[in-house]
Amino acid sequence: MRPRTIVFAIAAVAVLVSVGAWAATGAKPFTRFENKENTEVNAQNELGDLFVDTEPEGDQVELGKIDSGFAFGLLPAGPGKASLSVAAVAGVAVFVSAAAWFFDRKKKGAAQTADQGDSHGS
Amino acid sequence: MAHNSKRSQIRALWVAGAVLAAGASFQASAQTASQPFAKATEDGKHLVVTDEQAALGTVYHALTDKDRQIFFESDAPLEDIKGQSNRVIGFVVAGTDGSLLTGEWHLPVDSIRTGIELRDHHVASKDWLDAKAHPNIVFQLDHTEDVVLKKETEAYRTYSVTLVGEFTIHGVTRPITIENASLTYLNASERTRKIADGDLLAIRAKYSVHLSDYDISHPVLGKKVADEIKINTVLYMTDSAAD
Repeated sequence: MRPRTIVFAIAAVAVLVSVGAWAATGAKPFTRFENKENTEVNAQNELGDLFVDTEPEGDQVELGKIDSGFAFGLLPAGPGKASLSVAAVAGVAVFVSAAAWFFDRKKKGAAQTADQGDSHGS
Repeated sequence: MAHNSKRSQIRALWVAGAVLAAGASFQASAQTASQPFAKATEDGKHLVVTDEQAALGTVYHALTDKDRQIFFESDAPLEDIKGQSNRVIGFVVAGTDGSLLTGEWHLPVDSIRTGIELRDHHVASKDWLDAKAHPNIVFQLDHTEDVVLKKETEAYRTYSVTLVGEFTIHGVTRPITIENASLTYLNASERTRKIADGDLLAIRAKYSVHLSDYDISHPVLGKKVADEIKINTVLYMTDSAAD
């Protein structure tokens, strides 16, 4: 198997795995990492429990929760590790594949030139 | 004929002057709070209640850091953002009939969490809420209206009320009226004392604000961040000075 084909295959697998990770972690638009502070705040409900069923019916005020777990996003959410995302993996895959294709073509061209030189020489 | 046209010109000038003056006074009322903000205590856990305010009724202080207090949502076409905080400090003074006579609470802008660290920085940055220049979002309660007792047991009383006051975001103050808020006064018991001392009060309210009303403008406003922010507030308070 030619090196170019191997690079293409690895790049394709990397993109597929990253899309799989995106889907498996909630298909969120941005990457985020687990945040202990947010997890703790999400879990706080002692006072809320004291006031259960005290509200007038139909007028309940719900406090939602923010996402605090890990999610592999479609897009990066900042520099460093937050830049890991489907877009970043796809970008690297495209770059590496393009580089492999370019060098392979260059190598092929150089070999053809050498072949032509040999045939002219003989 | 010429006399009439001169008169109508003068009238037009008067009208224009009056419109400009009215506009200027509206702008002034929208920019500054009618009352100065209450100061925080040294430990930053409470707001200072003046003797005059304390004399009005029973003072309740917000229980900070114990439960989520504010949750907001921005539903924009390109992105949905949720945020929360449990760092609200403040107080209210309650009357004997279930109403609130005055109060104020502060939400520190840098305590807002959205689940993405970079976005938290953006929220507090100069482009959005500008935490450096305006560290707090402030609600100043002027009074309550439409106080109706909705539920009552030996342990608690719940009232439906309209909260009337002023809301300050990004240094801009606007009058605000929140209908269908509820106040639940919960008597101290063995169960409540395990979590917080004193008689407790829960203030629950659902309302929304438009960022553009508070001089917040950004190219992505309306696309990635909605102009209308839906806010749910549940403030738990105690009349015990110890907490």
